Amino acid sequence: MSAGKAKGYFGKPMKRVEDPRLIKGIATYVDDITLPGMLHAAVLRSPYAHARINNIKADAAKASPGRERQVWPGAVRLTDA
Amino acid sequence: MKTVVNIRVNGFEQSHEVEPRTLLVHFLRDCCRLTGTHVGCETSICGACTVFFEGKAVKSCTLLAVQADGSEVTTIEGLAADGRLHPVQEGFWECHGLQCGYCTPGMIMMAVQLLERNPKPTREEICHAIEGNLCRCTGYSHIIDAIEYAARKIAEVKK
Repeated sequence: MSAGKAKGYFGKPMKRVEDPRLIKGIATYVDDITLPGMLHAAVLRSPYAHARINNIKADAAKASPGRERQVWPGAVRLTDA
Repeated sequence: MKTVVNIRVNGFEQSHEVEPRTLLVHFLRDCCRLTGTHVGCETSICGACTVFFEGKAVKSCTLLAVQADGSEVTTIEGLAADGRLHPVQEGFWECHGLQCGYCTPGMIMMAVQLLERNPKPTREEICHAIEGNLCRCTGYSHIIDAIEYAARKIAEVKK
């Protein structure tokens, strides 16, 4: 790049290109996304800091109305999308 | 039991059936699909949900939609409705008053109200006005610069 072209970018603040949508309220955050068939999820963590999970009793959760499904440890695998 | 709520949002009539417990912010985001108003804390601490309700800046997570029935609401999307940025929006862009932008809509609505009430605020007065709006990115000083910029800009236009 020639010094002449680069000159305009140094020594002064640059306006950010992502700002217009953020200041107009038209940006899309994850919570703004709506897709058909979306569900609510709740994560249940172990109340013990260093323990082995031997068993999970999910009868009460299974019986609760509107419950779609449970996802167990090992049922979710991280993949390269 | 659902109930119909009518609110004039950014100049348009919005009529939606909601549960009585629905918060105004959820009416705006979920029913009107105006997601510029953000939910940060749902306890009126963070100010991300600030909108104009009957011309006054309020935290829309602390108002029920049914309480706003028949009223007029302006959200961040309604601020540059004519396609031109409001001087406060311009200030935030110009002075780097945002990074992630999550608090920005609420911060801007609050600043617009401040300048309506006090066109020439001191930095201290600006700090006081945005006490109820939390930003975890900027350290606030650029936000204060942005509001000062807007105050100057509005004064210039009036001249």
